[in-house]
Amino acid sequence: MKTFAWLIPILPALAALANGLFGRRYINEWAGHVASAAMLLSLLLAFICTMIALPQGGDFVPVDHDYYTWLGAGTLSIPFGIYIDQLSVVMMMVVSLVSSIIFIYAIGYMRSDPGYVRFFTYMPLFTFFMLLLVMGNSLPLLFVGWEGVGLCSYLLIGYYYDRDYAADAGKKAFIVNRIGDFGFLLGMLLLFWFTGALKFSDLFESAPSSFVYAGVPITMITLLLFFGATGKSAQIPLYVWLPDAMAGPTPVSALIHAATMVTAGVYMVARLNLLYSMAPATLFLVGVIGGLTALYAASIALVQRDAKKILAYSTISQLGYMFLACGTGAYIAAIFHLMTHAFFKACLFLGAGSVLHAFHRTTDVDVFEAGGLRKVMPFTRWTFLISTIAIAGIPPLAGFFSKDEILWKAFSGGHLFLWGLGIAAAFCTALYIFRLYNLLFSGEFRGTGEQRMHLHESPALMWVPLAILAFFSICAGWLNMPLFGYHGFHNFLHPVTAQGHHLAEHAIHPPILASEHLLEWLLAIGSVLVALAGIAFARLLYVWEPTLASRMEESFQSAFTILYHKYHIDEVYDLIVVQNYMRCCRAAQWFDDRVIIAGLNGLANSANRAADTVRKIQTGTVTHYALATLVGMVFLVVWLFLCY
Amino acid sequence: MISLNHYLILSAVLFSVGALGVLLRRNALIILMSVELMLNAANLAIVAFARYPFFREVGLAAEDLAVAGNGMVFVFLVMTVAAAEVGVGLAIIINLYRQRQTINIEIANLLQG
Amino acid sequence: MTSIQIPELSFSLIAPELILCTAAIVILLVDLYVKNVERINITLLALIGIVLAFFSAGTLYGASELAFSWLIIRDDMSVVIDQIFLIGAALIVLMSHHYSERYHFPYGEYIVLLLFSTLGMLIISASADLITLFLGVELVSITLFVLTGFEKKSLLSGEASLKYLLLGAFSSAFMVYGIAFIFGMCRTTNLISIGSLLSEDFIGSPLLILGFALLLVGLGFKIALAPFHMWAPDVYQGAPTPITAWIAAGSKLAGFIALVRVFSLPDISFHPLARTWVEGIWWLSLLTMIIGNAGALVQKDIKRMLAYSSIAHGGYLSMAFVSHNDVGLQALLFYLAAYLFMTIGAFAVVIAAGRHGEERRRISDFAGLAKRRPFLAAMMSLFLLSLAGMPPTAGFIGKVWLFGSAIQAQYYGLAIVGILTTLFSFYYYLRVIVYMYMRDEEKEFEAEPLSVSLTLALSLSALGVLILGVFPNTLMKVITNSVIVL
Repeated sequence: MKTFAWLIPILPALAALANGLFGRRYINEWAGHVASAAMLLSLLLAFICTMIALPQGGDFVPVDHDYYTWLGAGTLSIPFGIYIDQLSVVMMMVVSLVSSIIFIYAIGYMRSDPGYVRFFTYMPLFTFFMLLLVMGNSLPLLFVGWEGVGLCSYLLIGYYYDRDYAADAGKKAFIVNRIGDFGFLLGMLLLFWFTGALKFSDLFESAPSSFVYAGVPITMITLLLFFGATGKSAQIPLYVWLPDAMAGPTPVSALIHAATMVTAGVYMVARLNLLYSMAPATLFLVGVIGGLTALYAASIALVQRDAKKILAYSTISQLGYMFLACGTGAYIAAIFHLMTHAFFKACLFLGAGSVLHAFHRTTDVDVFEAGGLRKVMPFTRWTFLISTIAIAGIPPLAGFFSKDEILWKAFSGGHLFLWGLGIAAAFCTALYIFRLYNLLFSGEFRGTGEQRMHLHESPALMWVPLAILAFFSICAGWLNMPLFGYHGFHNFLHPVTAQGHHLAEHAIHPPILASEHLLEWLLAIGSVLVALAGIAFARLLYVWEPTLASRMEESFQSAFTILYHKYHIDEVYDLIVVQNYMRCCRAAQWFDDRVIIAGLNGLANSANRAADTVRKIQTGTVTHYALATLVGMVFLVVWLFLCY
Repeated sequence: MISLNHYLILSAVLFSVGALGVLLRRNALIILMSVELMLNAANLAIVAFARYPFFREVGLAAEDLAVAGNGMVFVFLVMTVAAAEVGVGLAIIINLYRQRQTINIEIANLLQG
Repeated sequence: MTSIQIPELSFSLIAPELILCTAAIVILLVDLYVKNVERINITLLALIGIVLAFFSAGTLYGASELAFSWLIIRDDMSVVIDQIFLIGAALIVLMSHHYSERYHFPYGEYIVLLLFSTLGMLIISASADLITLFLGVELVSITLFVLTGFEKKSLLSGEASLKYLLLGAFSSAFMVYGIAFIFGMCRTTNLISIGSLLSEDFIGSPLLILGFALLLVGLGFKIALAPFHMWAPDVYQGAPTPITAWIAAGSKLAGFIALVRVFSLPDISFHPLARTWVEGIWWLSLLTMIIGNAGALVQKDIKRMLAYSSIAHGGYLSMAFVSHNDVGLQALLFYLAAYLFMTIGAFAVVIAAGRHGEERRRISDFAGLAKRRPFLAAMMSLFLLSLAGMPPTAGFIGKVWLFGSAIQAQYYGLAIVGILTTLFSFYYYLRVIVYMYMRDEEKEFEAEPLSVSLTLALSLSALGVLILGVFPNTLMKVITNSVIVL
């Protein structure tokens, strides 16, 4: 495997290089094809890796191969190498598969964009870094990928650079991510200091002996690393960049801000599960942050008007689920949800992109201006519906199995509070996602007549990828159906987490309920019912009630504009949803604006003040400079005398 | 009897006078001269140390000859460097005068911030 | 009557210095006696001298000797550093070839001064005595004073050279005064002797501390440690751009090597004096990181911004003295090499993006560069990202190594400030990239076509940044070995 696995990340890098160097002169409109071809090739190779690993299942011995010693100075040794175990195989498959599909979709979507070549330079570059992130065999290599995807994300968010908000959003994403990276870097350096190892294989070997279970060092390190993850994976408090990141082209949102990059934090926690299992305090925090984020983001998604914003908050919320799972020690469930989420969220985003395409917009569409699209866009509608059901958690689609496993793990692990958060978030999820679906596709079109004229189904190059993603949104969940006693995915990944579980169980005996099959079934049915309630509620609000209302309006005042209609829905919303609940959502928004963003701004302001001071001191007169030198000298001498 | 300390105090005084000159004067030429004064203060200290190796009050032992030589050679080198510095400095100051018709350093503050 | 003994003169050990000096003198004579020398011939002569010096330095690996009555030390570290200096000098010569044509400098004199300043740096790296160290530092400074003022018509250049001269001489006085006290207390100016003296039960008197403090002030000025940094932004902005690059890269490197020679004396790691310096440098490093990064945040002039960034880097680099361990020293040497490439590269882009009389000086002038000159924009992004410490460039490896050394020495606070200020530094580096890629230019701005020499300088710097970032091992092994020898 090691003979060809290195090609998997290298191929997209080559495509990026080719497009970057020769794109404008020679490749031009073929840039998309070059990138897609490279991506499909690495998908093929990743598939071959999977085919090698899969039959061996849990017995598969991880491939750990150094191609080249990157750094090798004394105790510090970092190789350029790959580490392919069951976890990497899953991640490689997800990343290369979703990327391939989105690349092909983007050929159609970006066709008429002037920055076509630039787009297809950044995108393969991104995939290169992402594959490096999941395949690298050491923490610094993971960090290289981590930084690299951040950079590409920044470039792609700012893709429509002629718009101020796009450039600002890019900057925001970058800065917030850097704050997270600060934690990551510090955690990494501390880890190296304590264990003297940075390669995963060495780390897993030396960590159990280097750290005391639940000791301060391991807790500090895992907390710092998790802080990095909150930045990359958009969790409280560093999630603020993700909704703004929707300023980029839709395939970017689908690939980077939904399916792959934002899951890097989850991957990192799962990869280092051994360390996290030794730090129960961190795990507790991870779970709480994940649960809170899941509910918080889902509640914000309820009141948004922009389709992509809704999906962005939905992503944050789903990532929260994954961290919730990690927090309860159910790393495999987290990865499982990561995989299913990658499919249905990519499908949702690309579907939204298809709608934007119909509107001839590039970034945002007000859901209240859409409606009734099911007639003009049948393919988009059906694929969107499938992924909507998948995310809402209705069996037998993918989202149900993964979400249910997370909730069951939380419940059976005794984390009832987290389970409660998860269930509440599940209700919100079903509500907002069907609100979105209903507003987009049900009812009548609410846009202007001119817009209606231009509405059209997207070309096959776009809906075929949608169909493929929809297919996976249905089937991906069947890899693991604990309800029916099938644990394929779990058994495959089990070796990755075995050591960590072993360590954790040695130290304490968590109140794990015996796997009572009946209880599991009851809970599953319960969560389905909650989801169904959410769907019904959404249906009531946005389909049944408005038509009723509009018929009433017709009999009283026939000349009501679509604008009024929009307002009416808001009123119904206000009436039915309890005022307090709205206040809660607004409070969340307020908290977002005032506390988190203001905090970041405060930091920036103090930096600016310092900068001004420095600038004022620099008067331009030699005398003042000499004085500074003299004063500095006096202080230095006095200080040295004091220290001596 | 003049001891090492006397020389050191004198050199410290000279050094301070030079430093004050740099801080208080506005004429670039005079600032350059003040810097030369500081360098000479340092030279004085070196020569004094060379003359009084190991805090002996008078006389030179044979093994101290090397130390004395070391210090004095250094002083000559410092003087050479100082001369080079002044040479270059005068050229730069003349250039400044040609550009602005003044060598007041307070005028020369286009570069700031 | 004792006969005067002439100590053994091992000229082979200073072959690089001799070759460089010869090259400079040959160019001086050629410029003087041959009429209408082609610019390119002078450049070629200089490059030949530098390359010969580079290879002759290469033959000296493993020498590890003291020569010229212990004035010169030829260890592996000095060889590595010499070679880094020579690479830098070659890059500056290539940049100058283009730039001096643009502004009609008297080229022969210019190159001679440049080579002499390089000679000064080589002397610093090989000095085992405070006297040679002082001479080297002054040779570098005095030639750079002149070079800074080389644009005789420019008010900025003249003002910059005046400031550099006055403050440089001022700081030299501190240095000499410091050396005087060290000499007085230790009875020698030889660094090896001082080292062994301090490692014995030698209780330093207050004057010795004063001496080292003054020396630190003098050298701190050369490497622009806050609060001795204030000349740097003005001089960097006013000097001709290739010279700015050479001050930022070469002179700073030389200052750090001088500090290494003085403050990493052998066998004194546990001497109370060593701990005392660490306390002092801790503050300087902290202050420098904060002031450098804060100052860069609000700059509008690209050279000034890079000047503050260079100050900030001085702060990161001096962290190595605080950690005061092998790892720190290795990291310092590696980062210096990386820093040389990225700084020179960034200034080379600044030159290439302008033309006669119309330089791209303000950061906003860089708007739309990506459309007009994609190669230049890509190069600039690479260098800036490396300065910011983005993997997989050389800057990242150097930073991780440096911060790692501080953490290893348990200076967490300093490491945290280092990482935090790095975080803020992304803002101003990225601002340039944003301008280049995401803004449209305000007015037509056609730069001169890229000359061969500049393309070479740019590509070599980029290669350096990438090779040190992706394959840092080669240099790292050399450095690790050389530090062990030390």
